[in-house]
Amino acid sequence: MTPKKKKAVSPEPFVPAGMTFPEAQSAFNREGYGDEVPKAENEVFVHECLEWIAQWFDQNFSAAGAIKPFMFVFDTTRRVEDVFPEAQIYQSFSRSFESGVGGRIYSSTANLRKVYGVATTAGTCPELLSALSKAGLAAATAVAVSPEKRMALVHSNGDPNDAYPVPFEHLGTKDFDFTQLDAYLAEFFEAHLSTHDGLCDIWSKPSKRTLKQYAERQIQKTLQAFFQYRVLRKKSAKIDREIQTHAGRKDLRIIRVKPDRTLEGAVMELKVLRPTISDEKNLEWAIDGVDQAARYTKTDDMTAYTYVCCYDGRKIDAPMPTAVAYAKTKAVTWRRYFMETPQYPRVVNGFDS
Amino acid sequence: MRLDSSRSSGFSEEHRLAWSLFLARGCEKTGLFPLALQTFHRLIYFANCLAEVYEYAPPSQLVMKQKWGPYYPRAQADLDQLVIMGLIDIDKLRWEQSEGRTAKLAEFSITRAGYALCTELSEAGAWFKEAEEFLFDVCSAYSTIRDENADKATDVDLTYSQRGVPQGGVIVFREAARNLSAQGAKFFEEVAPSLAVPNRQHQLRLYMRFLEGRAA
Repeated sequence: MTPKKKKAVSPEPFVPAGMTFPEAQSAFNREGYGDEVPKAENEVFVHECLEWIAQWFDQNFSAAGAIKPFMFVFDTTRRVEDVFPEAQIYQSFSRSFESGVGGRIYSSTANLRKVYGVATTAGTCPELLSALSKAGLAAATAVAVSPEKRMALVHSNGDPNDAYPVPFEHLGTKDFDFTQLDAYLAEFFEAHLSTHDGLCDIWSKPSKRTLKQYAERQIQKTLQAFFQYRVLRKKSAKIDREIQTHAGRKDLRIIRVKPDRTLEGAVMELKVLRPTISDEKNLEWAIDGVDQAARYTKTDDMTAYTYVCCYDGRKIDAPMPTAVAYAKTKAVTWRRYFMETPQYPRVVNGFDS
Repeated sequence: MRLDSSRSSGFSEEHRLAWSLFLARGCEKTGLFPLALQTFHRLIYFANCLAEVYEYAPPSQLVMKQKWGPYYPRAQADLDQLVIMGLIDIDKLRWEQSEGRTAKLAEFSITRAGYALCTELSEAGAWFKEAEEFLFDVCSAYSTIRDENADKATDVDLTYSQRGVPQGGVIVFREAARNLSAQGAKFFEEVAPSLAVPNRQHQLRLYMRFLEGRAA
């Protein structure tokens, strides 16, 4: 895109005629922060779905255990009514959160305003995603929901194995507390990655300790969803993924506006240590992560917490004292999490911090 | 050709038709179908004035202020042509007389062929791709307004409701200073904290949220 020439920016903010600052502030408070960059259509769909599911769980939390899994599908290549020709139209979901939604696959608009459903016998989220492939819709975007497990599985990459989980069991309703970041990261690791049976499926062959090609991206998306829907009280803080800055690309950033309107933030640089490369190369990769994280801290003064999280897929759970010492010199918090697979157990106690 | 480099006078007939067709596609993807004719013209109006937020040039940069809302004769002719071409479906067509005027009322939706043509066009060039994305964003933002407030959103829009313009008066918003809607959407950059400046897509949503607050 070739934008027009930038107009000179007035140093004094002005309020457009007919608008008032409190009205604009009120709209901003209701709608929230938004993302760093505009979303593609299928990303809008995933966002709207997850927001809807969060509200649906709020209203059906106690009854959810008895409700069958269901799934929303968004296909940009055809009209919503043409995705499942035998489907029947349902009442708009956009402002309705009824419990009787289980046991069906819904072709949906980006905002769930219009949905067409077909019955399914699939009993789990992976089975629902398999049904998608069988229907020739593997390239579509889908969000499968397991009410019983209070989880959703998001499929957006054309490969059901790249799906990432989203938990909907909130950790309290308080505003986000940065001092708890370490505990949240530890909880995320234990539930999602500590073993190959965890919620985030990054191993293509666990018994051979073979990682998927895009394991790092999958962890990034999963960790973002974990913070967004399990940890952060709605709109109390903002989490972004892959933020472009002068110092490079940040993996994950959380920012919060404090009561005095100043900002407080955390940056997390994520690295996956691979079993197929040498220890020296893995160390270089880890140190590169420390350098990246340190650069971000230098470029803005609101980043109070800087983490490098190394998800360790090497074959031996060995500490990395050189990286630990280097991180200390750069004032970066170092965390290494060894991911177990059969015959490759965790042996170091703690997270090598 | 790019969307930003095509001035309004430079919109060929094909580009105008594509603009209306992409708007129809945006309505399909955001569940606004079947679309009342009046709503179609409201969306055309919002697309015309909010294109400035994306630094794009829309097909028209003026609107006549009327009691029943914006109406664009040329866009109506384009829509009729798309119906004849089998790219848009028309339903519940009727004429109604009220308040001294005769109005055509109908509901529209995009046909399978129309949708397929959109897919083909958006792969054919940057102009079409940008128009498709922008018009989806406009429809997506508009669809966040509750149905009961949607009709009123234009009435309270900053450009449409600006002071000093009587019913029947024409508002030209070719100059940025006269396009209060785009100014309003961009104003959210000032409202947000420095590291959370809303992107242009989000500015549209925030602006619609603002209009809904006024319309409610």
